Amino acid sequence: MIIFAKILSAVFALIVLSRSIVDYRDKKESLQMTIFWIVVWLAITAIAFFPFLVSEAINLFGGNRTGLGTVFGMGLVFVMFIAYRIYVKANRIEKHVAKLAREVALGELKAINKPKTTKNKR
Amino acid sequence: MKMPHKTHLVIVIPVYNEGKVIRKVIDSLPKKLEGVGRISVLVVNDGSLDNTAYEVQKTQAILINLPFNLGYGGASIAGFEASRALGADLVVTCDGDGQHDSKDIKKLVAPILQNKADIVIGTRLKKSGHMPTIKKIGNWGLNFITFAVSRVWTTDSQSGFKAFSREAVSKIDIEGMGYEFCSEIIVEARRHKLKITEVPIKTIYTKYSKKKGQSLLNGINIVTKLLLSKLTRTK
Repeated sequence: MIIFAKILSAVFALIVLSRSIVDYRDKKESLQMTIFWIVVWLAITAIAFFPFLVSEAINLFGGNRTGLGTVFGMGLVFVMFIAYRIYVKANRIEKHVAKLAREVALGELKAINKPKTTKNKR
Repeated sequence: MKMPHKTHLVIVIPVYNEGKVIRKVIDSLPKKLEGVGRISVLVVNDGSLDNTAYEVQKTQAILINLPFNLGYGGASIAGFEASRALGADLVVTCDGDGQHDSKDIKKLVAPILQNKADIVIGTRLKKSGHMPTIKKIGNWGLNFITFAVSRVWTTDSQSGFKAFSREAVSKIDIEGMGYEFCSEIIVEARRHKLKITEVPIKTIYTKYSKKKGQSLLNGINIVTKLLLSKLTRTK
């Protein structure tokens, strides 16, 4: 199970990092956001590979492990719900915006092809 | 479908920041082709940040501008829609970085003119001698992924040099905005029972075209988006 978690987090980290770097290279994302996602996903991968880091962090802040599983479970459900909502909305918006952009471009084409009409002189 | 006597070929070039080479690419395109009555060149400027639009305006090509960058797929879909509006009987898609040899257009359109195919893929991998090894590996990987989702085997699923019949252009309905567009074409061809064939093409690898080509990181994005598209597709 731990090995599966490690592989899963590494794959997700690779996807997110590659997307962020490509977006930054294409000037679609700012340097700050790129660094933010790199740091977040490196942290997630580090926790997956070295789980004792979580215990260390809890001990550092004076906590204990009672009810930790429940908190993590609830957190995971909430994160999955938010991810689903964002995915659905982003997907819908992306399609609408792309259609709109294409219509703008095609409008340009129709304007080029429009036959020039001349008014009849009386 | 029988080809009309005066076949209208539209060469679609989706471009993003290709100001340095786009004029050379357009100038190299054929003005006449056997079996083709008329050739139009349509450049889809995909929200370029450089002087691409200015350079295209100096040529005879038809230019349409997307208000912002949609990605390779989004620009190609716009090119298809514009081709339909222009009354194209045949459409050829071609990259704007100069990696394709325009002499190969004749080979690409021939199977469609002879009613032997609806989609012709210009394959770089049958003459892949000059292709960098990392690109060869990436391409074969994407060929397998494309086969897994479409059940159609092609030797160069990611080639941007393709020809389409009027029927193919009217039937293909793609949602992918990025480079997953290339694989989605094959999925769509299978869905609509369109005939696909391949012809070997020459690829011109310059320092510029190597720099502009897809990276391994992009390959990961293609796979993710292709699988997501397969899972979420409603049609």
